Amino acid sequence: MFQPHRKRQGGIEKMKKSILEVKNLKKYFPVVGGVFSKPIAWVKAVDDISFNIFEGETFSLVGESGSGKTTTGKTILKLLEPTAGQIIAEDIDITNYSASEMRPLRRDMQIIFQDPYGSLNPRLPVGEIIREPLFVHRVGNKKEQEEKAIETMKVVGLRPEYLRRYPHEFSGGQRQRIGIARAIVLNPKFIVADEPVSALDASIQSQVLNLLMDLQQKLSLTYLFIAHNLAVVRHVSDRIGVMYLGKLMEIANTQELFNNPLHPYTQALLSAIPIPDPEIKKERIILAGDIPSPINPPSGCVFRTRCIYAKDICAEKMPQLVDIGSGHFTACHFVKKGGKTEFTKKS
Amino acid sequence: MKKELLLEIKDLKTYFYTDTGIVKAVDGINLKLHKSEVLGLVGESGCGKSVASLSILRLVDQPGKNAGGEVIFKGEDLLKKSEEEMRKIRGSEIAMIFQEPMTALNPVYTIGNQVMEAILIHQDVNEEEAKKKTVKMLELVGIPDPEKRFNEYPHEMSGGMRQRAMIAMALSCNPDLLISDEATTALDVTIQAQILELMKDLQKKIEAAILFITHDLALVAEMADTVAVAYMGKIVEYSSVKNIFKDPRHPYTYGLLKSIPSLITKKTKQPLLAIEGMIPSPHNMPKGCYFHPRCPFATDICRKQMPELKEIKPGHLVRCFNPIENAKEVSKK
Repeated sequence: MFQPHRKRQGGIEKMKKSILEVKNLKKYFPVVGGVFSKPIAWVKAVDDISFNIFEGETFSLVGESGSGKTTTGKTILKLLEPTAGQIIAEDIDITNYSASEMRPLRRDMQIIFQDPYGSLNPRLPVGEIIREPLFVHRVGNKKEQEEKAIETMKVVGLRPEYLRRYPHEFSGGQRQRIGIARAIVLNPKFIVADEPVSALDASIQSQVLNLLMDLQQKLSLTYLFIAHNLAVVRHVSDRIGVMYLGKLMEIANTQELFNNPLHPYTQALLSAIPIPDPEIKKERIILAGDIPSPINPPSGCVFRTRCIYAKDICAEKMPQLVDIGSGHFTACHFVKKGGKTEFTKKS
Repeated sequence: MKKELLLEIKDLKTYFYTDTGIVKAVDGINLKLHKSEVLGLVGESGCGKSVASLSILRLVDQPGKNAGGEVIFKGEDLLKKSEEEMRKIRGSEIAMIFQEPMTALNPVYTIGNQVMEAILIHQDVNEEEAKKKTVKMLELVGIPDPEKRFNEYPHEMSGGMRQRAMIAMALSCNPDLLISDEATTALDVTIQAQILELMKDLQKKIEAAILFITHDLALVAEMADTVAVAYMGKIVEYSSVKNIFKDPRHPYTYGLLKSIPSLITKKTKQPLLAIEGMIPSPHNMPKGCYFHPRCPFATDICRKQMPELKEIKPGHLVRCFNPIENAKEVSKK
């Protein structure tokens, strides 16, 4: 009944196969008001973003709160209905799929949530929580499902004796393992990991990160990893997309992004990370002000209100996300082909 | 450079007397803080760092109670003061910044009123002068358009601005000691950078000492002069910031440092060093050293006896029977 964990080759050729493609995705939420609760404004949570995720890689979305990274993750899985754009999962356009059409595909697409307290049903024992996806997808009979649940518990480092315990009996790190077990029990190909370690303490965080990396190897998983902690993202990712106010500012492979950030926002974001070494004193780019409201984002480039290089053109035109060479995409008027930058400070 | 001693905590104990037993949240902590020094107190959730800071100000609620020790601030034991005397010290000589600026600020008063309140209570000024001073403080912490912001309510401000207002309130009476309890944890990284910069800048200006409480070792590296690492209500290592990061001796400190992904290392996508297991339940503490069930270097004595906090080289204190001799050697294994 159960296939052994799918083995996929992780060679260069295979890496380039796109498992998910997002084209001009938009997700707006209405702000309702008045007697008839009509939409009076729109929160542009995700505003026209495009990217690919290749098979076997970890693609990360980073950004500060309100940048739209979680909304992107949920919209891709169709847990939220996209406002516009296209989502293509392995050559199938799922943008307009109904819930029942989506159901068989969900076997291959799972999610791990941030909050290990809120995302587990407190009234189900752990064994049932992990078995539930198998039950929903009618995989095997009850006995087989239970065996699979136990096997999965072992894989994520939970003791099978805990099968009948309830979520409240576990610590945060263990709960996150339960969430991971539930996500992998169906042998999915693609997992959205939405801030999977941000609620955990440092010593537990590394345990869970190690588990996620280990599972990726063993089960040939593809991750969309959503996080705000850039040190964590650097550690686990192959490629990274930087989001700001619903838009993608820069996409590059991990090393390239950290060694050669080209967008002024990425530069500021990277320079703001505190480094756990008292002897390194680095030059900080301190951004002035706060993130503007996504209801009424600035005209042109959304980052221009905080950008130290902003010019008139930035208020007029939103720069497009363009490939400036070898898969490094940047959305800035002053970053040219080949990565040449023409920044001059505002006078 | 010998500096004047400002705060000395001696064997401070704060216990919570719950229905299910006594929880020793702070279990005999010793700390020294000199004038205009920044002391970082780090540890994971449940290590007692917040309770320790509240104990200094005697703000621990029932069922928590002081169970011994001394908190000597400017030569006087705060634990022996009357409630009346404590009220004069809180907010004026010792001020505190909390983690969540939304819950720490009163939602029904304007920002200006709340900052002004502290000034009116602790300083001999009339309302007009207090208002002037408030506007000056708001300006000092980098709140744009302070006269207008004076009349705004906390919900009208962003998280970063609220935290600035909190800092303005805390510094309005020129405290000698500022306790910052996870002050930037709820903020985004670019806003965090703003607030840290502001705190460093103001610390130099007003020459206050800071007790900087955080779970984030990277922040300690940036802010602190000396560092105390706490685990289950006890200090396990205490030294200068340089020593803690370059020459950690306690296995817990070492594990903590190694378990955070680094921005410098080239070895990404590799397993991180993880501290096995998890913190023990406070109701069921292990015998001997509290860290021994998770410690790779534990020996028989660790299972029987709690080690003392001992000075192993000048200014470097470690609570361990088998301290790490050479961090570089260990990392190879």
